[in-house]
Amino acid sequence: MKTYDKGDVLPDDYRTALINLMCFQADSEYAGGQRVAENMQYAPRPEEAYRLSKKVMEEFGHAYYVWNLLADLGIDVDARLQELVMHPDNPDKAKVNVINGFRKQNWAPLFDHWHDVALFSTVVTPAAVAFLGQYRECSYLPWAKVNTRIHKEEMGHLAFGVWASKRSMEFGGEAAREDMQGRVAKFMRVGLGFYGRPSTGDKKSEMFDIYYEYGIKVKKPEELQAEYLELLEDRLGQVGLEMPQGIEPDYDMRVGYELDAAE
Amino acid sequence: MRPVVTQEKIKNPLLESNLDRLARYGFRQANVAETDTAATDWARLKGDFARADEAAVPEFDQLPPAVQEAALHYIALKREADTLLSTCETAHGEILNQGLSVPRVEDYAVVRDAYEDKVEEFGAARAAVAGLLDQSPAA
Repeated sequence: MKTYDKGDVLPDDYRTALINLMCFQADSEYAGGQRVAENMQYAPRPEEAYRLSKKVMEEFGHAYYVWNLLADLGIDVDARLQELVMHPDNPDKAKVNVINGFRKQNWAPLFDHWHDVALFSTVVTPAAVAFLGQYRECSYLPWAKVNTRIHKEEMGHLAFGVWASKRSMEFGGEAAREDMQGRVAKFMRVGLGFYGRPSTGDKKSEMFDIYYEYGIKVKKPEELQAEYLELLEDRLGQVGLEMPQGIEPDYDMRVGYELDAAE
Repeated sequence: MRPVVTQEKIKNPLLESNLDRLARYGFRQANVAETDTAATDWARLKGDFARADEAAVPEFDQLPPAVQEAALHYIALKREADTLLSTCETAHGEILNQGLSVPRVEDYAVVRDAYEDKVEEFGAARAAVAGLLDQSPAA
């Protein structure tokens, strides 16, 4: 795999694909932080509130790291930040690239209780860990380096989910466990859709082969799915919840991560 | 002579509401003088320990001395976390209004790390208080 470092001349097609994915990551990290901040309303206790606020700070930090790299590639990142800050509920799709799942109108209906907040980090975050984790080995070395840092913190978010879920059950007992079990499936649909359509067959993404050939994406959706399910089963087991069977992925929640879908 | 044009600062209402949510637990901006007593802070924070009924958690003055001492540490860490979070918000404001740059983002990373470490310490202190409360006759 050919790799590129800061300052290297990038082939035009490679540069376009790279910038597209990096913008989606940075803009979506920031929008994700905004959604997590909105979820502060559900924090039931002080420690939950402070730990969730910590997560908000981390998500914004992730966006800043990737935007810094995009600035080196000539992108006006301040305009992207300002668009997200000034229009958090509905940022202009022509100015920022936020995955559907992190847009308020798609995110908010998934949440009506702290249990949802705890489960998001337990059930969906493993998909982000698997998906973004691949960028640690991608062909653009500055981005790979930044994602090593981000991946470590995303693992921390997984730990937050496990902590928050266990504590909910500690305070709420069996009734809380039952309530949470009923909420797992909706988040698993999002998690399963996070890494994209299969790499083969009639449902395959048109762009996947190009990203894969460039070494921008280094794992196939099928590999990421296996990684996700392994992480998910482990974390659900840690909190005493069962993994639902027969859940269909919701690919629409991540629409936008592909170059073809963005245009 | 051309008039000096001062650009209005962009505000970040979502982050401000984040802090408002923490206000119910006594969050204070770094530049606000400390006026609350430990008893007031404890009253706001004791939900952290109420497995069944918040009213069952004793008021600060009724805590056994060892629990009081641990509670004071827990409260102090929360106050330190508030100060660091306030510093994070200042860093966000600088990035938003003066532009993204490597030094500003690294400055933010430093204060963010400090805030996050403090939240971890706060969590550990909460667990220590909870352990003492479980053992105390008043629990």
